[in-house]
Amino acid sequence: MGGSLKQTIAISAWNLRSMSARLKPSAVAVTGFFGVVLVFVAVLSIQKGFTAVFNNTGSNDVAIVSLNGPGNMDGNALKTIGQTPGVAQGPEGPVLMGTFLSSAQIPTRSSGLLGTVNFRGVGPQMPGVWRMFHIVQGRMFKPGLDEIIVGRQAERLFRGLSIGDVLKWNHHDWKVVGVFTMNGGIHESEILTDANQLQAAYNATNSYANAYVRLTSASAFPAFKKAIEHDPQLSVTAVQESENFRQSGQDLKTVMTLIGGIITLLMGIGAIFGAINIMYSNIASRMGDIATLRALGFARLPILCAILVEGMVLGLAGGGAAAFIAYLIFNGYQASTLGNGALMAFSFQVTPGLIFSALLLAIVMGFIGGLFPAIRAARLPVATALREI
Amino acid sequence: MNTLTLIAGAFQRRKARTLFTFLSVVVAFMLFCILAAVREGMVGQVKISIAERLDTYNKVNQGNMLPLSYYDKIVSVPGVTAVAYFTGYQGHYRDEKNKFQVVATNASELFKVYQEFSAPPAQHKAWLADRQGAVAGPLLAKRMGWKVGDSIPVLGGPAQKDGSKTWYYHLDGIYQTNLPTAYQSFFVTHYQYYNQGVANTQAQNVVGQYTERIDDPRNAQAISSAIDKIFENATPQTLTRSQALESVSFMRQFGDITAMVIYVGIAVFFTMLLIIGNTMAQSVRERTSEFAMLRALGFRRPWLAVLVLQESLLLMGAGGILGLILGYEAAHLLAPSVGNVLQTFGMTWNAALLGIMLCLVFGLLAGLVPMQRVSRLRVADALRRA
Repeated sequence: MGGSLKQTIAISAWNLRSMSARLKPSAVAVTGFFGVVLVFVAVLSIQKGFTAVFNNTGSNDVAIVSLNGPGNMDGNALKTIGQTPGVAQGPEGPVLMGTFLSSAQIPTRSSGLLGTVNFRGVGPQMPGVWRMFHIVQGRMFKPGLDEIIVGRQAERLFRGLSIGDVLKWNHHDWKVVGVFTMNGGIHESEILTDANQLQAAYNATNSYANAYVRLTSASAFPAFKKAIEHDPQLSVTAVQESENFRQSGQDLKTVMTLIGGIITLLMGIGAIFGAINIMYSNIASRMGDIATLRALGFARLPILCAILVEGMVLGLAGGGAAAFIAYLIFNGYQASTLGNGALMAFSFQVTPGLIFSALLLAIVMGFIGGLFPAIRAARLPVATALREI
Repeated sequence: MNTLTLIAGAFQRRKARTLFTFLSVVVAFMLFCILAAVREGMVGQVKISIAERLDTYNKVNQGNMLPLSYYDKIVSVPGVTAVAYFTGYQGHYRDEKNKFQVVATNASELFKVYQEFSAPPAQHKAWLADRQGAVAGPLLAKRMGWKVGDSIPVLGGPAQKDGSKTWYYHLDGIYQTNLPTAYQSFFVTHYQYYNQGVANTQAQNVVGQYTERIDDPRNAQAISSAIDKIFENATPQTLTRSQALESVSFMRQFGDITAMVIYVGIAVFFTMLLIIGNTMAQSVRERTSEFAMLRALGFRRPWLAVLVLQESLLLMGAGGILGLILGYEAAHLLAPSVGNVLQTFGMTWNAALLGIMLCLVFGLLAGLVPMQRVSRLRVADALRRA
């Protein structure tokens, strides 16, 4: 066995050193692998970045309560929700806020065309409910004024949302007074203001789309859910905030996974076929060399292994280059898409895990590409091959 | 001995290489089909949503409801020829896996607003007269095994006044439409039946949206503004836009990443063809001595060049067409899974034609380089090397 290994290494080393003589076909094979891995990394980095936004949104000790069916709830419903066991209590009573969710159309920075942004009215308890909320620039809006704060991503996505700018929307002049972050979650692509102020702008006072409720702990949720869904005064459902947003991106994620997966699969198969062809002709042009090796006493197995190694090295060369370039181009690349009914920003993520899978994919493709030619080379009858020289 | 025998001989020379080259072509064109289907999913929506149709939503948010009482005011706006309104729920038949969208609408106006939908006159008439009636999309009826005349209990709907969540309908007809798959699976019912049955008072006398048909698309902007103007001081306010505008805006916002996948995919498609071309050229190179022999036997240069070209066209053509057929099937299979987001996902005849043209063009290109080589062949040199 030790001898086999030594032989494999010897042949592989010779193979790789002589690769410069077969530069063109090898380069073509490498190009094939390069393309597949590039697309593989691109598709998955989009999906990872996209999913991360949803995973960074919401915590499990906050519940979202909304009506069963259409309509809005009023202030009385909020009071009833606040009296449900399991709701955290603060200095100003139960820690909950009603939100009024509207959407505004604002020109985007990238194209200047209108994009949809969630323009959300929140209650005074908002910082207590959303603990990840931080003002990073400027200040909080003052209740009772037409002042807004914008998420860091919303400021980047849309025109005219920097501090000091005025957003004209629905006959009001909304002054931007602050920029906030929220753990990289989806709310960073939103605009926030005082709920009462926004309701007034839409002639819709005292109406809330849903309520965000801080619970005493995540484990209080099942009991809270049961109590509130059986409350005869309300007809509502409750979900954990973290779960709610995990569901949101599902449709788009399915599409990305399916289409991205199929495209990568087809390209992978294509590249493997291409590699098989190239390796076959590589082997064909070296039949004499291989026969000579066999005549010199090298066994079949090391020859087989050496050709597999060559395939994997070609795969790794293409895949490694693609992963490196994909990292340079795609990692952190800022993009946006529709999520939750409005434009949401996200950045592509080329993670170490993703690079590892990409390299693995490249090696596997190289292995499969080398397998059939390797078997043929190992089976070569020595005498016939030598005669052909 | 004719040309075909020679080509067959060339293909059999290295069977494995012929097979894998052929399969590479098949795979490349399958990839082409998927990319074309994704692209159609992105732009197809725009073709359906014509400028003669407007949608009116609650201005606060598209998910919020509008009062039914707005109907009379919208109908009386000059230029509006018909108005349909919609609400509904997601129900299922027998098993929770058999989910579908139950649409509740004012049946008499629906086919005027959506002229892409039709039903046999007798069925249409029966449906309009039947308060509990429904028409189903052809795909839905096929999936559930329904026939016209069936009585259909839909489970999992909103609670009715007696507490039951099962809604009973009669299947009066099956509608036809040339719109893509996503539009062929609706279950269309009467608004009145829904409105009178639903228990939740907040769900009564409200609709999710109005859709207007207008007389002239050039007036879309003016009519939209006229509608919104009526409700400017009402609660809730409305937001009206032409469907053409709406879908362009939707795709522009949604499309960023899908477009990127398509661009990368196209790059790869061409890379694959390049690699295939390279393999074909190599196969000719290896046979240099054979061509020299044929020359020596008296075959003329142009004849040999055409032979090489035919070989490459045959391989690319056969593989390409098989790939297009398989890709069409694959796109067809995928459509239901991605239909939620890309409603118009699928292959079109235009894409198929483009595919056929591409495989002919690439067949020619892939043959061109080796063809030149063969026609410049110096017989004596080539034979000596052999």
